[in-house]
Amino acid sequence: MKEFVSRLLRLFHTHNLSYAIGGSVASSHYGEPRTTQDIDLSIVLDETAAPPFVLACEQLEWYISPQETMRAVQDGGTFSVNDGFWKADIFVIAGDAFGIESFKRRRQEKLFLTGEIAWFLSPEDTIIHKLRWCGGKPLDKHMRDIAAILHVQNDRLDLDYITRWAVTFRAGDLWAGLLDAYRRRQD
Amino acid sequence: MSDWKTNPTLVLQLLDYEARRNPALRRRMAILDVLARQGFTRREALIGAVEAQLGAGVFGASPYPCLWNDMRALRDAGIAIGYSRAKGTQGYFLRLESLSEEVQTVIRQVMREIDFEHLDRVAQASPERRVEAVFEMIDFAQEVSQAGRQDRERNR
Repeated sequence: MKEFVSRLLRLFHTHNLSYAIGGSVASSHYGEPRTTQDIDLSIVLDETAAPPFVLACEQLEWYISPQETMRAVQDGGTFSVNDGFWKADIFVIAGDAFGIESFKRRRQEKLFLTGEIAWFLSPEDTIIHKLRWCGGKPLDKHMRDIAAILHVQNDRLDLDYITRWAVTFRAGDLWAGLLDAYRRRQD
Repeated sequence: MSDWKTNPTLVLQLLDYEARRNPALRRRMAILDVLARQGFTRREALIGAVEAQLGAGVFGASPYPCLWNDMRALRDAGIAIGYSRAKGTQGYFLRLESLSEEVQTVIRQVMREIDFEHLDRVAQASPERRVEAVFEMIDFAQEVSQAGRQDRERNR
C-alpha cells in the first residue's frame, strides 16, 4: 500500500495534477489511525490531462478504465486505479461546488511516506465528505472517523462551515445528532 | 389505539388534511421539516424558513412566544429538540433521539466503542506519525494473513 500511494503521488506530481488526500488516510491524519484497503483522493483532471495520466497508469501495469475516467472528468464523480491489490478511489472535482471549495481549503502536510509535503483535505472537508457519501445511512467506520476528528481537532474545527455543507448534502440532522451524541459523551 | 404504522400513507394523508385546517399543527410540522433538513438553526432563521414555506405572518403578531409554544408542544409530544449555544452550532436542532432507530444505533455504538482516553494519547502523536500507524497496521494485517495462510498450507 505504502509503495502504491507513494508512486501514485509521484505520478500526480509528474503530470502536474493538483490533488488532495481525503478518506481514511486524512481522517487518520486528523483523528484516529485505522486500517484501510484503499485511499481516497480528490483531483483536478481535465480532458487534456486525462489521457496521458491513464497511459502512465497503464505503463505501470495498473488497472484503470479510460471510459470510467473520462466519464468522471466530463460529469464529475469518481474513478479508480489499482495495482492488482491496492486501490485508489479518485474523485474529480469538475463542476462540483463543494469539491472546488474544499480544494481551496486543502493543506500541505508532511507525509511520512516520502518525507515530502503532500496535500490533504482540511479536517472539516474530510468530515463533510464522509457525511455526504453516507446517503442517510451512516456506516460505523465513517461515524467513528468523524467522532475521532471532533475529539482530536477539538475547538480548531470550523463547525459553521461543516453545518453549511451538511445541510446542502441533506445530512444536517445526521451531523447535529452525531455532534449531540459526542457532546453528551463528553459531559 | 390501533397500530397506524401498518398503513402510514393513509395516516399521513389524514395528517395533511388536519394540518390544512389547523395552523398550529401546520407550523409545527414545518418546524420539524426545517430542523430535519438544516440541523442547527437559529431562532430567527427558523422563523424565516417556516414563513418561507407557509407564508409571512404564520407565527402571528408575536413570533417568538409563538415559536416557544410550538417548541414546548413538540417536546410534550416526545420529540427530542435541543438548543445549542456552542460557537458554530447555535440554535435549535433535532437531538439524537429524533433520528431513525437505525442511525441512532450506529451512532450510540460508535460512541460506546471509542476509547476517548486512548484517543487523547493518540492525539499527542504527530499527524505524520498517525498516518504512519495506518500503514503499519496494514503491514501487520498482511503479515498475520500471510502467517495464517502458511499455517493452513503446512497443516494440509
